[in-house]
Amino acid sequence: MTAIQPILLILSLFAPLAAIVLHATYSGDGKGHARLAVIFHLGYGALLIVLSVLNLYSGLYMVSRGDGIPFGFAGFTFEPSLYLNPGNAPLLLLMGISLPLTFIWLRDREGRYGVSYYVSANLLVFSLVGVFVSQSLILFYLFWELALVGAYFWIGMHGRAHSYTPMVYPALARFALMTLLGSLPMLLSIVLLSASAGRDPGLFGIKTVLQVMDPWARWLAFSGFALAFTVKLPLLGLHGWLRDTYNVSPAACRTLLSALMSKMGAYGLVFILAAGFVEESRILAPYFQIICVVGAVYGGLLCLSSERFADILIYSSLAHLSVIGLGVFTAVGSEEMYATGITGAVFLIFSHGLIMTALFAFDARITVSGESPSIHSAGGLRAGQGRLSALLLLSIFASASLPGLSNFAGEFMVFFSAFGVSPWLTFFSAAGVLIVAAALVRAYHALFLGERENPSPVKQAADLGIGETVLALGLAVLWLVLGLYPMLFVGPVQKAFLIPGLGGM
Amino acid sequence: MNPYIATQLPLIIGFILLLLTASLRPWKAEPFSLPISLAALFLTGLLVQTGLQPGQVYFGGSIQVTATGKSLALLCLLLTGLALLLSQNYLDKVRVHPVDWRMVVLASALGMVSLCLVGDLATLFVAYELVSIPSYVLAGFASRDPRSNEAGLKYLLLGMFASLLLLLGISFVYGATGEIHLSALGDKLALAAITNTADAEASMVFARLGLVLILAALFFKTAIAPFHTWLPDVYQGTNLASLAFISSPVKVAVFGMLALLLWGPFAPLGSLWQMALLAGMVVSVVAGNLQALTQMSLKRLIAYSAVVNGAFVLLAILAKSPNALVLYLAAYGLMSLGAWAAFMAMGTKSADVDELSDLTGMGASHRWLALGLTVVLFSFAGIPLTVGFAAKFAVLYAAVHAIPTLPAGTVAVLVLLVLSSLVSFYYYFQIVRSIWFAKVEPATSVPVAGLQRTLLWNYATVLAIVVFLALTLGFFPRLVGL
Repeated sequence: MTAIQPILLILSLFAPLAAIVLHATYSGDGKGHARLAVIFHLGYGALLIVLSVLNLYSGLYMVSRGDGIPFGFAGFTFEPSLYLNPGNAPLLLLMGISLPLTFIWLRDREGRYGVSYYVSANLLVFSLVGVFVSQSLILFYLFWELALVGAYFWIGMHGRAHSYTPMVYPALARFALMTLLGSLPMLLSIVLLSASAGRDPGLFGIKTVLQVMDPWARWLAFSGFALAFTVKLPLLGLHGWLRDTYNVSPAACRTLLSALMSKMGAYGLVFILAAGFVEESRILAPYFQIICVVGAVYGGLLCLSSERFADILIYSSLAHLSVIGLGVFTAVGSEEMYATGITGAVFLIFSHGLIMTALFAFDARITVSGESPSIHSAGGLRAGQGRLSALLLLSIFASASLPGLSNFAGEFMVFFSAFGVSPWLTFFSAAGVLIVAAALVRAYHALFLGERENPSPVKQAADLGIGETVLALGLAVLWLVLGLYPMLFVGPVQKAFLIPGLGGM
Repeated sequence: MNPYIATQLPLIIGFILLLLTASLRPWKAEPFSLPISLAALFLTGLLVQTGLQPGQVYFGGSIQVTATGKSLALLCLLLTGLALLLSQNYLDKVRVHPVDWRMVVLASALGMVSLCLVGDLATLFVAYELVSIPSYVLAGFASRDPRSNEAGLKYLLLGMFASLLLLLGISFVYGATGEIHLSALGDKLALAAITNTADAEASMVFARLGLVLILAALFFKTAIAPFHTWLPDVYQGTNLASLAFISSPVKVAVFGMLALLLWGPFAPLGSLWQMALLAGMVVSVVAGNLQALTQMSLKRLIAYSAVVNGAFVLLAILAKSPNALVLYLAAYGLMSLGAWAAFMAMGTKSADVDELSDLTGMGASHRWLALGLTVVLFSFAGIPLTVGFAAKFAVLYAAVHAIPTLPAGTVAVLVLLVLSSLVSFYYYFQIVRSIWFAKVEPATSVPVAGLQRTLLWNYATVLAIVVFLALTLGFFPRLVGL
């Protein structure tokens, strides 16, 4: 089973390029493209699931190198190497589940979108998988920037303005520029590390290279990475792009931005800052912990003050991603809690990604236009969307970390880790998450319960189909299994973070 | 035959053949001048590649072959060839006699090859003028266009001023050392720098003054801020064919000459020119980026972006990295040509694209052309997988490597350069936005509606070559290794 994994890894990376070629050469209409996307992502999802599950439970630590390929330039060597281990396999598993669900639940039923929609979407997918499996830092940066290009074209060409976000481009420009504000310094950081090592040191070589670097260079390199990841996540203060970008994005793009793209930042925190810049992260951990806790509470309050369901989801994401950040920064602050905090963060990354896939997809399925309803504009929607409302409620419970569902285990580990640093961290961040839960339940109550006005002020879409419901139930079963028996997931992941050099301290 | 003379012969013979063509068929369409010019450039390139070896010296040291100089000469010839290819069809549109235009370009190419291989200050000045004077002519070639006349005159006056500064600087250096050969000049300056006599100190004062004048002249010529104010006006007034030549191979040659001078004879005065380069970089990125932000004119926008790119070239010179320099100049030269090729292709039969809004809807109406221009813009911006990214990475890498030998404050300038790229992303993305995202309104669709329906082969060929090289060198920057 281990021999096949390198082949599957290469296939997983390059398959989205094949999808790009397929869509670019396909001459059918929009509905045909939508069907093609569903078929491709079902197959691609299966490939990612098989690869990541194999890796998680075989415990293989794999690095496939590209020695001898004449990349780089005179005086600088660059090996385009990939890696997969039970540390990053959960991210591929998340993609494997999230992608087909997104492309099925949010398929283009009217056939509005053409080639450019699917080409940019698959470019984003290609880049995301590349970010999560790149061992070389240059390759990592390459995919990081390509992800922005994919999202930029996807939103720019197919985004829609609304009364609450009147123009697409200013929102998109803010997203692009803020992302670049992080990623350009990251390029300088990679140059600093590479120049010190004389080659691309790779993800696992950062800790070693730092030992030979001057303190100013170490801090400069740390700052570049930290800025890139905290903008992408985003952490409080750097979240200015979040709401408007999500609002103008096509529904499928919005879902992937929240479920997967935000995880690029989380991935960087776990695999580069915590694992590579151990000393720097430890010194700054208290400050980051405070930012994360304030972010969780602030995100919760924003949820309470928001009226549109999508806005509530967006700010709930800010709160939950802050909790992921808290897990990372409490872990780096304490050796005893390292594996617990980091594993909790990885668990939450995975779980949050799945839950946001469902929440954003179901939100976009409420109305015919795909616009998110305001909680004051409608009520009693359950009457027309029984299945969707039941599954949305389940997703809200999962997001609210109801015991027995998957988020609970991850948040418990993070809060446990934070408690070791200071009980107040746990208290306030848990309060933030509770406020989010209250806001979500309140929104659900306002939208779906009660009497439906006749005629309804929102043009309600059709309910979920049987097949779509079965998929959602499958996802719910996964939440339940992970909630009731988290060791199924925690065991292999935790092992990855206990091994030095492979994410361990 | 002397191998250096052999490299010059094809260009001289080509020039004479074009002269004959012009005399025999004045103002008549002819199919010969383009193939003759391209053949002359190709043969010169072949002879430079095979006949000249690094370390060779000709004419008592007047010509000195170095690996960097040879690479730069080949690069200039390649870029000149592409610029010549672009001129086909376009010169008729702007009513410029193609044979005359190509003759001037060949004369300038002759100067460029020499400029990259100079061994003494006298040859340097002659070669510099041989490159410059044809450039002034080219800028004002479309004599019926008032803006072209203005551009030509402005370029001529300021260019001559720069030439005089250069000449004065050379005179001071010669007066201080009594030497014109670059290698001996370096030795004398190094000796004077460690000698504590009054004579030596006086010599160093004049040598420093000479270097400052030379730097001012070359900063003028390469449009390093604050000596860049002429550039947008000249870009705006110059026809695109001449602009392709002036902005690409000519700039590459002059930047190359600056690098060869600073790394060679003026190495002992490193503390002076390093500070000057750092200052030039800071002012260029700040002024260039801020001024580019508000531009609606494509030519002016590219002009200001050229100022910003100049800062990265200076960084490569500061880091003393021939690899990074050649790679960056190759990237910059190719991308400039790519942009001009796309703009030429998008022009109407009577006018060029000028405003940003002229590209509105290009993604829908000319998909492949739009894709090509997008790759070029991404390369300008430094998006990975393009040569622009590889070049920026190589320059930054070389600079970080050289930090221990560079003045204090270099790190701050590096951070500024990287952060300033954010601003350049904004204006490059504005063009991308016009191409792909902006919806074509009936009222603003005039330029698109008047497009040439059949894309002319030469614009498409040059853009395709540029895109191919941008991606190939983006994947394998080592191909440009010295």
